[in-house]
Amino acid sequence: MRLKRYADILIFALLLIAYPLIITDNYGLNVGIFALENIITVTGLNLLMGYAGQISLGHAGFVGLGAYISAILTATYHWNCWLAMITAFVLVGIVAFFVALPTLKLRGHYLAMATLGLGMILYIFFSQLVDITGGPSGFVGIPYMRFGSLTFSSYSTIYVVTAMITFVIIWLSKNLASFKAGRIFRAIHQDEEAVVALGVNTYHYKVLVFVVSAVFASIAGSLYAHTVIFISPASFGFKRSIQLVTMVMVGGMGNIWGGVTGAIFLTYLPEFLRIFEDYDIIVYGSLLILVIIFMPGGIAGAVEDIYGKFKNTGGREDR
Amino acid sequence: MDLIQYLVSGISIGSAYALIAIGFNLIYNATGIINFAQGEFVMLGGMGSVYFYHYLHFPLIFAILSGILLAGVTGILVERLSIRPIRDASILSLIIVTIGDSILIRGIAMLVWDKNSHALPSFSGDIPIRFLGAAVSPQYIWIIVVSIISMLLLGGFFRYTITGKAMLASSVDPVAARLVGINVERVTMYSFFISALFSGMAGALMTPVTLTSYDIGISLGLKGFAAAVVGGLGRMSGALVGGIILGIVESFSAGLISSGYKDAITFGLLLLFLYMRPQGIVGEIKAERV
Amino acid sequence: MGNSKILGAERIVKHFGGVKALDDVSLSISQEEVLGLIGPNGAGKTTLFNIISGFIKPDGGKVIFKGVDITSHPPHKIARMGMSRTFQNLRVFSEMSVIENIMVGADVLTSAGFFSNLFAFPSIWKSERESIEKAEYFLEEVGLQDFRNTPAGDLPFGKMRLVELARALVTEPELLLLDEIASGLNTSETLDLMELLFKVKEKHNLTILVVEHDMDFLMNLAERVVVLNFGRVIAEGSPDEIKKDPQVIAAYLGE
Repeated sequence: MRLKRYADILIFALLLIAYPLIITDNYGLNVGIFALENIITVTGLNLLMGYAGQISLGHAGFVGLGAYISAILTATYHWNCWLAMITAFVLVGIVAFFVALPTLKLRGHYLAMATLGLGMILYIFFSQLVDITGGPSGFVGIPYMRFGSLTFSSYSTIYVVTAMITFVIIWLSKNLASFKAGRIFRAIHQDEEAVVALGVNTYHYKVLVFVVSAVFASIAGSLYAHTVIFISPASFGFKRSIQLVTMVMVGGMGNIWGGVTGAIFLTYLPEFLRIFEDYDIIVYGSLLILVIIFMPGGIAGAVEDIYGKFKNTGGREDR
Repeated sequence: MDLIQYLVSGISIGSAYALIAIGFNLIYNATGIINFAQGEFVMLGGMGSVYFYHYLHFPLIFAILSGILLAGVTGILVERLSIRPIRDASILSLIIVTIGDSILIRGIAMLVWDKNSHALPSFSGDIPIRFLGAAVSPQYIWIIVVSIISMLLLGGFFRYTITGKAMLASSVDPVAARLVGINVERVTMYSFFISALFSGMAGALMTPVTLTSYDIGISLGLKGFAAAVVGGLGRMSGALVGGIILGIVESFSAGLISSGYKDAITFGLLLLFLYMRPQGIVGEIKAERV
Repeated sequence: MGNSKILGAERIVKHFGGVKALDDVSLSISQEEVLGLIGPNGAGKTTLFNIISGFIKPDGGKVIFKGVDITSHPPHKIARMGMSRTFQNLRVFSEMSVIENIMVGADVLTSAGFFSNLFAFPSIWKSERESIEKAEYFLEEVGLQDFRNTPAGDLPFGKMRLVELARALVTEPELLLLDEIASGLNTSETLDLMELLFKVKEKHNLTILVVEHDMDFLMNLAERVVVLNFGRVIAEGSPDEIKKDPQVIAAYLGE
């Protein structure tokens, strides 16, 4: 039973290993790293939004918080990068917890607006705290990750580190999704009152999943900062939050692999469509509208439907 | 003296926020939806006016009316093409679809126009008016006067026209409205149209003092929403109160604290209300909070 | 222990706007009793249910459950104390399978915490096994074993009612609140449901408070009946007494 349950994650591990063996050029590796960083954030957001049904329109703010804390601690205070990364996600976890306490009491439109506002406030701080963040022109001089005497400055080494962390994140998310918590999240999504009637403190679960998703975002942010070694507020604004939501929607809400697929798809799509560049928001906007109207389950939902037509048995519980 | 100036500009910008808040309220009352694309109507009102004035060389007044109409027509399109197909979907889907609309409109504006900031001339020149020892730009007065007149017109529309009464009735009880033969679908469409007109007007009115660009929608939308929440979501009279409070807070925090953080302070005020008093300054608890 | 009181609602008052939905309503239930609650539409039955289960707070009066004043307790805490309810309008998790629906109820009583879930510690596997076993037990008890992996939303209406019942039972309640559980069922389904309720009541020593529109169903199931009209208790007694009560007859005919 355990082996069957983890078959998908083993396949994922093999794909992670295979990618740099097949794609060895720097450009391909670089895009691969971005895809992995997106996978980390999107998986957390999927737990929050796709599973538990709680929207966040400000998640890029947590990515930014992770990135800036890592950047400041390593570049300004010369901390060890791993210690900085851990400090970042602990701090982001604490911030997210205190933010979640009042925010997750809100529902529906109010929750969406509140998270949108939170994201905007974080963005304003990134831009305005010029002394410590470098302001709108950005933060330069972030060191690469390092382990002992090894410096991870080449794309292949950064890929390896990012892939290992991604694997751990996916494993954790899969655990959350597979057992008790995952069931309760999905039940909350469908009918929160009915879950309360069973004796579950749903608020407690909503706060927890919010904190988890913020921590994942923070880790992705730290990795991003050490990959590109230059960050600016523009990467962590409203547009980025919406990109993340789009990845979840397009891939498929409430399905870990759906989110992963969405993250990969929308990281590579602009690379294939060069005209995209400035006008990517048109594509994101259209995708959001079209997916909601015509394919509410996203890619994962479509695949499941097709699969279901061939093989008309249940088997839904193990996903 | 500065204080008078902050007060006047606060009330002025605040009455423009009230117009946006009315836009939110109209759609909310008709459909129960909070439209995340509301701010884009504001942007279209501003950018549209700029386009008709600077590029098509319309006379200012016609340019502005055309800009506002552009916003209104876009409102109808949003309702027809994205809201109506999924009328019975979950709240999450409705939120996301209006976000999709929002960034799509924003993207198209960038594609059709550009990424720069644009201005419009003030409606009656730039010679400041002396008022209680302060120098006040006449555009501020225009914003206040036009906002208040249009709110009065809207009130009259609800009270004295058949369509307005139908809209009011179906916001109170859509099922009963349908039973007495009101076409609720048409009412929804009118709501989007008028809502977008009001928001577009806010955009056109503010452009001479705050400038406009393709990406201002999200932040102005959030401020309009904040005004609606402060005044009590769904209450037309609340919108004016909420808008003016928000405008004054913003104007004083920009003047006395820091202009860089003024938006953070207004958004913080929104959060404070959502957390502590989601029903607004006056009003009973309703909707979406346990 | 037959006669000790398990639940008491004392002088409950509730207004909605200007309307008095409940006006000084009191009722009590003894252990292992089946109490029926009836009344015309709008009499305040569901409001009283929501107040007892903690989903609505009353404007006056209090609710005592197992000797504890639970009036201000949040609903999940009340449920944890051993009170479980079904809803008038179906509230199954329609996109989850039948077994998963019931497992959510079972999960409440398992001990594994969030971190053992996150890191897949052995205790979560143990909890998982417990949940499955328990859910399967109640799956069989309500007779849904053939629909184990069917999405609950795809079930026929009558079967969804059973999912809700199994989900409520798996939380091991002492007091079960059934809000119009027979509504929408056909005659044979109603009879089966009644038989099932008698069976589970005996087996798990349940106390049941049941609101029902279907008079035959309620009169057969309940040992004692309380009648509400316009937010007040107008009669109380055995089903036979209630059937003959002139006030009750007037209330129903005057509807």
